[in-house]
Amino acid sequence: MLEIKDLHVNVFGKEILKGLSLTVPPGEVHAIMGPNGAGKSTTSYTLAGRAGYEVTGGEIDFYGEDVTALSPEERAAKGIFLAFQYPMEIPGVSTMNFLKTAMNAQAKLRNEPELDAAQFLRTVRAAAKELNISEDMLKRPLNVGFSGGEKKRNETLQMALLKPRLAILDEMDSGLDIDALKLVAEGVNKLRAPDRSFLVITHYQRLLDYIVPDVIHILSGGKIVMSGDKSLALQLEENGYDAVINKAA
Amino acid sequence: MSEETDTLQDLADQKYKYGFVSEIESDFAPKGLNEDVIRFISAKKDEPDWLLQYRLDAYRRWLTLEEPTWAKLDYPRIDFQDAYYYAAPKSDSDKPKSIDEVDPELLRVYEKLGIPLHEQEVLAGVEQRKVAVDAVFDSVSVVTTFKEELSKVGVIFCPISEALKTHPELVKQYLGTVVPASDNFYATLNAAVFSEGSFVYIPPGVRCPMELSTYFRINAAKSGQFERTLIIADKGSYVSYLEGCTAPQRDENQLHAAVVELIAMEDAEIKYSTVQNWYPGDENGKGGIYNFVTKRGDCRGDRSKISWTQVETGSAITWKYPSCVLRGDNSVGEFYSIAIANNFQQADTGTKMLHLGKNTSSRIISKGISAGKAQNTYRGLVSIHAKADGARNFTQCDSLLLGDQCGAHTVPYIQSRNPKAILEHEATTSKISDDQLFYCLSRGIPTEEAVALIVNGFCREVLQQLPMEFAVEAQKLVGISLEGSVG
Amino acid sequence: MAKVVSLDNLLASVAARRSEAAPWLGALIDAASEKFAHVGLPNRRIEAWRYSDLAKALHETVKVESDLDAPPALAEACVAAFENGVLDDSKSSYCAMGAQSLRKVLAEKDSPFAGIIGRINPQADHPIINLNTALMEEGLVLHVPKGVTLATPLHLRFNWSGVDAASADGRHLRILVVLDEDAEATLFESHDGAPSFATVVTELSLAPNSKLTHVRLENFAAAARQTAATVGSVGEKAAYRGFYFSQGGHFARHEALMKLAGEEADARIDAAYMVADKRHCDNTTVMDHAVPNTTSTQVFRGVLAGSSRGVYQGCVKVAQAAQKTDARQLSRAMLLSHRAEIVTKPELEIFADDVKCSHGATAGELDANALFFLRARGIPEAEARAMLVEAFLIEAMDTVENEAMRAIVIACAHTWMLRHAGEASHVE
Repeated sequence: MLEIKDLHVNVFGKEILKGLSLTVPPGEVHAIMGPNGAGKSTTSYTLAGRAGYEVTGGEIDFYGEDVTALSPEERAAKGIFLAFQYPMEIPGVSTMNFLKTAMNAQAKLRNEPELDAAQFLRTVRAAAKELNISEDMLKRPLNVGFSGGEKKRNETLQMALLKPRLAILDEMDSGLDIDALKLVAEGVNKLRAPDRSFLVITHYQRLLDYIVPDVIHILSGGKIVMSGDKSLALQLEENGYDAVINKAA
Repeated sequence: MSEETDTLQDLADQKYKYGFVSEIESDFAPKGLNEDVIRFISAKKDEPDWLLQYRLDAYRRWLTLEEPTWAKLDYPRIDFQDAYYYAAPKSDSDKPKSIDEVDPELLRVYEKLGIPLHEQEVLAGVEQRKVAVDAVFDSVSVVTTFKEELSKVGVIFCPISEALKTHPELVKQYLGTVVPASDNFYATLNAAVFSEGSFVYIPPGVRCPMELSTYFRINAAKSGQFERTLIIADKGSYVSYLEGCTAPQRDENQLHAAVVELIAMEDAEIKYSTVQNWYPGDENGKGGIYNFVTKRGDCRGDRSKISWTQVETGSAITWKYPSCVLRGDNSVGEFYSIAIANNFQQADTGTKMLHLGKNTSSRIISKGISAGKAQNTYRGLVSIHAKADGARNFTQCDSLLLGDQCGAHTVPYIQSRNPKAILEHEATTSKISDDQLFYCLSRGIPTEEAVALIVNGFCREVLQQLPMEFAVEAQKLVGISLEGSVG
Repeated sequence: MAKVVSLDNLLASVAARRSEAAPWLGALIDAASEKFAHVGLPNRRIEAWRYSDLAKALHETVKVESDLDAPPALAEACVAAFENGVLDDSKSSYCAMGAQSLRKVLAEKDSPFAGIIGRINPQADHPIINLNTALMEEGLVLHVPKGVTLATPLHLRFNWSGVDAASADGRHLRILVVLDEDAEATLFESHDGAPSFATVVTELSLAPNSKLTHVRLENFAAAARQTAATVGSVGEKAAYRGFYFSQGGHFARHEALMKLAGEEADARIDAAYMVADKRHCDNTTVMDHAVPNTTSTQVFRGVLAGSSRGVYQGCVKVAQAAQKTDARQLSRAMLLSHRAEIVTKPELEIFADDVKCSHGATAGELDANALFFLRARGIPEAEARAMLVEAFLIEAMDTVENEAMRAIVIACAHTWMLRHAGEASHVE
């Protein structure tokens, strides 16, 4: 269960989030929509614990524990997963090696046993197959030379393997054509589970046709100005952010 | 040689338009250099004793130094005894009090150079923007405009010889603190014989209400010019300063060895622009100014900023590295340079950025253009001290070759002792692309204009940094300097 | 205890050797001896040695560790094993590929190499190459005839250990590799242990259409003092592929001085250096484009920890005739400590107008975005840092085509990472 309470965040000395409050119960999919500059990316980076995103007030409670003081890796071990809008290319690190290091590191932080090599390979291969990720992609350096769709599938693969309790999808659809989007959304939908919640951050309604949310929140000026069911997305699509936000105000 | 190359060469061959000699009667110090000549200069300027001692100390040290030879410059040994170290228009002997008392012959010189010395005038083609001018003719300042208006806000702008009388404590406090008399061969020589230059002091919190500028003119034959400029921007102040320079067309080489010191205190900013258009020598490499200049800015206070912009088109030899010492935390240094060398010109120029304070940042943009038989070298140093956490440097250094008889060289030194500093350096060398040129030609633009257009585009990032009043002038100068050189 | 190598000792040895030289070598050795005697040992007042003061380094006392790493073994290679600067035939198998010892070549009254040795890409004013020419004694000469491809690599294994590693005038080794037209060969050079002072000059002559792969490993102990030069000429349509790895030493310098001498000649060098403690590692390259249509590439990557100093000097020269030159150079360095230092001097000297030349140099820390990405996947900071440091260098190592050699190179990097794990995982 994620509970964000009156969160204030400064980036480069400028306040971007100005009292954001939000609750995502286990098993639910919530979407955050908002115009450019509303603070969407700031929300996702702050939840993942990126340096430079300074929490000046409020709390981020995750299953009853305030995580604002934790490092990114500690948050990851607690089960917070951020699917990046622009996944990093890391030359020199093979995807396989990266996955293994990440899975073992999290297991260690959680005091769970590490996977042996054979188990690991089996698990990765099975998950990769589901997402149509080739063996060759796994051998290549992490995200280097991957297409937009391949990068997002790779993010989904990591999500499947790391089994987070909260998955934050930051503009999951950016850079994807409709076929790639369907494939990624399918992968995400398969991961929906009663003990896993999703926070889908998006500018466009399009993604929500494929990953259907339980609740939609509208973020504007650093706080949630409106919440509702999925029909809210259609209203936005029809009337635009300005009209809907003005009506709310 | 291709047809294009020929046209470029034509473009480069246009004559130097400031090459006239003015018949002005002058006072000279005896030819050559010795302690008596230094005493003569000091006496002429009616200087305090500490300054005479400073000069003599520098001279004695200079005698022990050797001319530096590390630059990629090839010129005959300079005979330092075969020059006059002091030349002044005779009419100046009773220091004119106002513009009306200035020798009309001198005024005509500046008129011919397009430099306004009457306060009601402004620079040609620009409306309603005041520019204060200090006009230096050989070894003396002829006149300084807008002094009174500037003094109302506390800005001091005057010849350094005058500042020595009116504000001796300021001069004594700062002179030689950025470029010590022992700095290098030419700076030491300058410390011994400097004769004129501008002094600027901007008091705390003052934004200088107009552009300040100094125009240097070498006129007398066989004479060198050794000016000394000192600019102090006190806490939170701002000043933009421009220097311009020209000299007559003569067959012999003349020496110019200046020193410029800038000091920026906390939150202060100094913008220093140069349009250097000394006589470059003729198309056979005869004559021209030897330009050996030491320019350095000290970002003494936190958050201070010093920005150097130079357009170097003149001189037979250019040896010049305007630098920044980034001492204050969060201080910023910038160097924007266009260096054009044509015919037999040789330029070895660049900058030094010394990062001492935390989070200091520097930016170097250098555009070198070689044409004719010229050699053009960028030489630069970026050095990050172990304590300069968070320091950042970006360097972009591009060279353009016009023709296959010239050379373009890049010699950067990049040193870092700090793991939390980030340095990026990029350099490229290329010629004008045939595609670009063809595109222009196919639109009906003649080759010469097309080249000037493309070269100006190549230099754009630097030209943009010049004060608006001078950008247009500099842009024209880029075209003129290259006339006859397209490749 | 190491003996002191002094200029006087060197000059005495140089004088003694001059009188002994075979007639076909006399002129070369005389010229080199005179030039060396005139300049002496290079110090920081000489621009090219500004950051690597050899004269000073030779005066410093060094402590030789007792526990030295063994040199790497490359399976299926012909070996020329140099133990403390002396070719050890009992450990070598170079004869199998037709190579011969330099000692034998120098002793002959006349030589087919008379016009080649010292004249491939002459460096008349290079103090160390002159010293090496004046004192060369041990070494190897390999000649690959026209159209021949050597299937097995030649492993030049230099190992310095024990008391013999020290001598009063140093050891001066000379390697000569001559590839005739259409010939191909692979050279694997390894340097281990702690020479008190060694110079190694490798001369490479690549005739048209030939190809040489050259993998060079410096795995010195901390006390090692060596300055080496690879001097080559690449002919028409010939290709030089170099990969260099170094972890520095008390004084470790390697220069690659390559002349692109025939049209469509290509030289490519990738390099990785990892330097810790108080070690010094100097990489210098000079690519001399002498004719039209040639290409050169250098990519150097370095990681500097402790109080180490890394130097990269890279010069690209383009002669007036060398139109259509395409030269690229990149230097990237990562500092892991506030006491470490990187000095980069990427130089361009260009006299032709229709060329594409560029260089780039960066110095800094790990990419903050990549670090965050790894941490967001649960990888602890220290581990994520070490991963990124290794990844940074692996990009260079992946350019080694021969699998066995690549494995050796990666193992060297890995060993270094394990030894310096603490330094690689955080910034001091």
